[in-house]
Amino acid sequence: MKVSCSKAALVNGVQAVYKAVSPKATIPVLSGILMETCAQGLRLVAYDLDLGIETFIPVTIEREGAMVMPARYLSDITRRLPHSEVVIEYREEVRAADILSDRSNFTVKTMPAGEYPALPEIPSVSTWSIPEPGLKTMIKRTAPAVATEDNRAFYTGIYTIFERDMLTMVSTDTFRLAHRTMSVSLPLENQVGVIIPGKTLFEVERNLSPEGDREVSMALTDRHAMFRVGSTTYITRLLEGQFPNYKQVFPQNIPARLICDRLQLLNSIDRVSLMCKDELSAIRMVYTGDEGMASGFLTITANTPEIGDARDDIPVSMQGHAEVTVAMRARYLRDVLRVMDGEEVCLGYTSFKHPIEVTDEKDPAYTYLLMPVTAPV
Amino acid sequence: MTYVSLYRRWRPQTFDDIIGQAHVVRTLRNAISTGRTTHAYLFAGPRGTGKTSTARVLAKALNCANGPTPDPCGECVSCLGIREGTAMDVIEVDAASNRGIDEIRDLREKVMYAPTQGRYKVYIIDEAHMLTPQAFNALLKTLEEPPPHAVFVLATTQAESIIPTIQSRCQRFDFGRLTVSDLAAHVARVAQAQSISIDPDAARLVARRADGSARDALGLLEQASAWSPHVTVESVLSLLGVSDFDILTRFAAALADDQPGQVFQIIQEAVDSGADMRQFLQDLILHFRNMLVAKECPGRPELTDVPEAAYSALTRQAASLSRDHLIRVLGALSEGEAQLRRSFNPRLALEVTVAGLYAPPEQPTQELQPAAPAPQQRQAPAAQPARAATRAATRAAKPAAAESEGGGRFSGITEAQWQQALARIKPASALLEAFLKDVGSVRVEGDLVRIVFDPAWAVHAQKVSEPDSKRLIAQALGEVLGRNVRCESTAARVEARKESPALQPSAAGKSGSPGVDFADMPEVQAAIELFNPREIKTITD
Amino acid sequence: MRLPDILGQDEAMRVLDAEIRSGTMSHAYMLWGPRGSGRTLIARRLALAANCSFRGEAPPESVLWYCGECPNCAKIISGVHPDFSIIVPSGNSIKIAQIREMQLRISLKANESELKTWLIDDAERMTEEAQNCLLKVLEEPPGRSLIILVAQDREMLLPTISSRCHSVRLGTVDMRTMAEWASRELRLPQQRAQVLAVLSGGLPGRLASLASDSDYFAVRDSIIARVRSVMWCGDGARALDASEDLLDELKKARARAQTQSQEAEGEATTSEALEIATPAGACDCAAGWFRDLFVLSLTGDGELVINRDYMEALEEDVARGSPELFARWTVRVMQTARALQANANVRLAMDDFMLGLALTR
Repeated sequence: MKVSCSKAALVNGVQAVYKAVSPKATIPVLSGILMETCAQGLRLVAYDLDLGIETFIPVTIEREGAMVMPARYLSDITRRLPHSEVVIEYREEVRAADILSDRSNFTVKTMPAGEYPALPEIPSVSTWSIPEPGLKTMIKRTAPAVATEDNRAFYTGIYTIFERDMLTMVSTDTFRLAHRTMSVSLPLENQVGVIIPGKTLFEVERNLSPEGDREVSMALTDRHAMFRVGSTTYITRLLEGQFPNYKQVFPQNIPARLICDRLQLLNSIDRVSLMCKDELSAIRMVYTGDEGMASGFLTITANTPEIGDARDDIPVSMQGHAEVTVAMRARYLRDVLRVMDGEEVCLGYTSFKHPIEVTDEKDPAYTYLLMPVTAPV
Repeated sequence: MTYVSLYRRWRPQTFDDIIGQAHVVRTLRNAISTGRTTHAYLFAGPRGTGKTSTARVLAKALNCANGPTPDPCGECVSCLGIREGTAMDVIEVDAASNRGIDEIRDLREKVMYAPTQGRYKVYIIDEAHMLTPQAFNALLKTLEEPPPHAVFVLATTQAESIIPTIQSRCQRFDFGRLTVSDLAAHVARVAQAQSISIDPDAARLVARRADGSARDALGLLEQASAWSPHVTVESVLSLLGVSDFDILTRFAAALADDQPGQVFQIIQEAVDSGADMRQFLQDLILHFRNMLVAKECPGRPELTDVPEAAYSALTRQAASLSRDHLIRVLGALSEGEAQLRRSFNPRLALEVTVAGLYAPPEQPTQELQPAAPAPQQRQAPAAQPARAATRAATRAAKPAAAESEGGGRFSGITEAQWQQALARIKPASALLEAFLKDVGSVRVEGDLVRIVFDPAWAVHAQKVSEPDSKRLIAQALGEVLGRNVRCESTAARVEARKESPALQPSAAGKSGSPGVDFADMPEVQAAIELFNPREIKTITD
Repeated sequence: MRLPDILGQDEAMRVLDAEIRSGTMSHAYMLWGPRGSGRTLIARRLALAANCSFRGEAPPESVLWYCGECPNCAKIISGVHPDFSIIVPSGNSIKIAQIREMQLRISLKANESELKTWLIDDAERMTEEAQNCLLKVLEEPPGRSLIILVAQDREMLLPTISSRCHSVRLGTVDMRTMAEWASRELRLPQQRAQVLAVLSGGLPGRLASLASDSDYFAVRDSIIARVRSVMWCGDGARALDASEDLLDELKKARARAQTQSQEAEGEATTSEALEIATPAGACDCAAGWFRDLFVLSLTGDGELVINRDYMEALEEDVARGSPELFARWTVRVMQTARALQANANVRLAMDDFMLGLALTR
């Protein structure tokens, strides 16, 4: 195999698949990236047996072939190459590859391409397409509630429901829940729900552009999900298990809604939580209204006996009526405020022990619930 | 529909399903009915007795849409969620993976959050004994002031590892091993529901083998039902790899007839058939026990594990052996089992055990005639007179020399302290301890311990002078005297050790008394026990 | 593609096979027995039989049948099946992190097969934390899973672990089968095949590695020689010298074996020389010797002897002692071995033992 290409394309290609490299795999070849020539140029594949990523980069092929390069070296070398053009040549007799750029010359031992496992096959008959910015928003808004670690693995994924006219994503770590829908048009009779690992979706989201005009193709089997964005394809195993029955978590008949400036609230929380002991600590919010209660202040406090305390007031307006006194983990609120983009945010309050509903008037398809702390803070 | 293991399929879903823990169930039901549940429970008991299952049923009872009720409906969102493991308010924490203080602190903070779906947030902390002491302390604070919506169930197989301050804040329930009859009934019930055909005797056998655990019993039932279409005592025994009745009978016969060759051939046969030596020995023990039962309680076959057909053969064989013989063999085999358990060469351990049964009593016991204890020798049991005399002689000779140097055999240390030090050395090196008993004098001057041997004990002195020995002695003496000491060992005229005539008395002393040095060492006692258990009594008396 | 045949474990394989055929396969198995009895091979065979795409077509008389052709079979045999994972000790033990990773990955749906199969080799080397961490997933693995634990002894694992598994014990193989197999498959001369069959204690895996390990025999020869030189010599000093010399020899032999096993890098076979050249290995070897003396003096039956290549020397020794003495030595050496297991000081333990040997009659 001998190809030449631009450094930028190679670096991008390697970074695109890198997430699926398995550095400690029992099958050594999985610690590498498969490179093979094909009609579309050079095909790069990384596959840790859970997630597989495949991408194509434009190259000039002088000689066809395939090999597996150790991923870490490939990544480190390509990023530091001195020149914008790169030549990669695989020499079968020494089972090593030369990477040449300007006057730099690397020779790297390779692994046999024949041992690299094939990516799971996804029948291409029923792929659906979803606009790039829409999918990005869906993932971004549901990401905060995905559990990072839990012995019930379905909490580490995003429950994704496909219907004829609607795509829904739900995530929860049992302390908060994020729910987002979008209108789509899918050739479906019945609803299909799968739990897609968070890790995969975050990787897909990373490579989506909020202004992009590409269509993401998607396909499902009974065990895999596939996303294709441009020339990059992600194939992931689905999570086992049943997603919890989450619908009854949504509070009915919310008596009061507080509306305030999103950034103001975010900054205020950031400030006040300086007096929190750590990420796990809670802050407290109390509403003090004027006579008609329609407008007033939200007082945000944090108190750690051995450190000190902090207090911040921000102006808010209230729809409906309730005595608002509630405590919550600062991070849970901060996480959601950061992924929203409306100017104003609305906090729906039922009681000190019901979930707070966080909504964004700019994005009515989105709901985020967070559980308050009921014990004294 | 994929197959789900019996023990999972038959996991109790209601309080009524829980077998053999009537006291636990009754107390919990009452507490739920009267609204007097508490915030922390400790479920302690061996595996497979229903701790986690009961915790889940409790969670259902507390969070059921129709509840709290001792009879959860099993159909509401909460009940279904708990059954499927998707309930957001029932959190099963495996303490092994979350044993550190950070995890528990995180849990403690999270406990403060209101339940999402149900009334209570139920934390089932499995294998709670795995928590670190710091984690326990962190948990303690929460157990002291739990939020009203939190319920903790700590489940453990090792309640003794749960610190008392935690225990005292929990309502403790002890889950007992299930009785054989409870288990047998359970096995029979499950078998019937699953259309498994099983003999009542076989169900009892399965129950007995499950060692009080419902999970083990159903696992075995499942294996047995695949193994043979109709589950019988024989099929369960063959599945378990239990030694064949015939080989046990032949073994016992060979033993009774004093045929060592045959005994070893039978062991070889067992090895050849791939038998597990520990299992074989356990089966032998059981066989002799069964014979004893057959002898002492005639006409009660149900008290033994043997199939009916074999019972008469068992009785016949039992009749041919004396009660004392049976008890003696049982004692030796049980002792051997303990040895085998620790041995890395099971076959050898078994052979040695069995050989012990054959050894003629005269030879080893001769060494064991208790010496007429000289007043200063209370500590030296079972030494042969000749040897004891030598020992006494050397000791008698010594004081004179020691006296002239000032002080008796011990100076700067009492004899009692010396004995304490020896006791500490013994576990590390029995031989070193035995040698040190022959010491001529021990003098402690400041941090220096001088150990002097009579020239007759040249080998002893050499051994004691080795760095490892000196380290052990210094350590033991240091502990006894409460300060750091170093030690030095000397013997007069140590040179030319191989030719030295000084060795003669000791060699002479030893010639007539093989192993006298070792007679009081535990391992030799073990050997002697093997040879003739009856003799142990003389020693220990 | 086929796995090598499995020697003499028909009963155990039939127990496993019965559950596959009746469709009542458990999600968790423990295959336990001595190392070298073919445990891992049977575990892989079970994985094949459970995953084979054509398992429904197993001939009636076959046991743990697999087609060997379908992608599931081919990939499991060559070790590249994306749904077949193996956990082995990392360093000396299987750590909790390894079990946590398994917990995470087993929660994903299978890639190709209907089953996700996990093989935990040397399961008794799971740390206590790792074992406790495994309990949940071992009881209720997500989706369709098959977890196979391979262990030396059921009792070396927590009872909570074994309680969750269907246990199948793998035993030793009879000497005749072993000897026949050794002369047929390993092409050994008949007499050597017989000696090895006995020495390997009925463990085919052990026999195979003994057959290719001449160092083992050199070490064994010198252990026996040292022990015999001290036996009833009555000279404590000589015993201490012999103890020192033996420990030195073992050390050298160990170093030699280590270099060799490093040179043969990648070959994951355990070196028998490395095992016997440890103080515990030497004790085991000596114990075998005394046991032979003991059995021979008691029965006179050469067929019961382990060290058959040493028959003359054994008979010579037997003529000089009594069964009681040999039994005592056997007990003694096993005590020493146990002390070593409990981390006793090696030098002292060996001195104790050798002195005992020299001064007892």
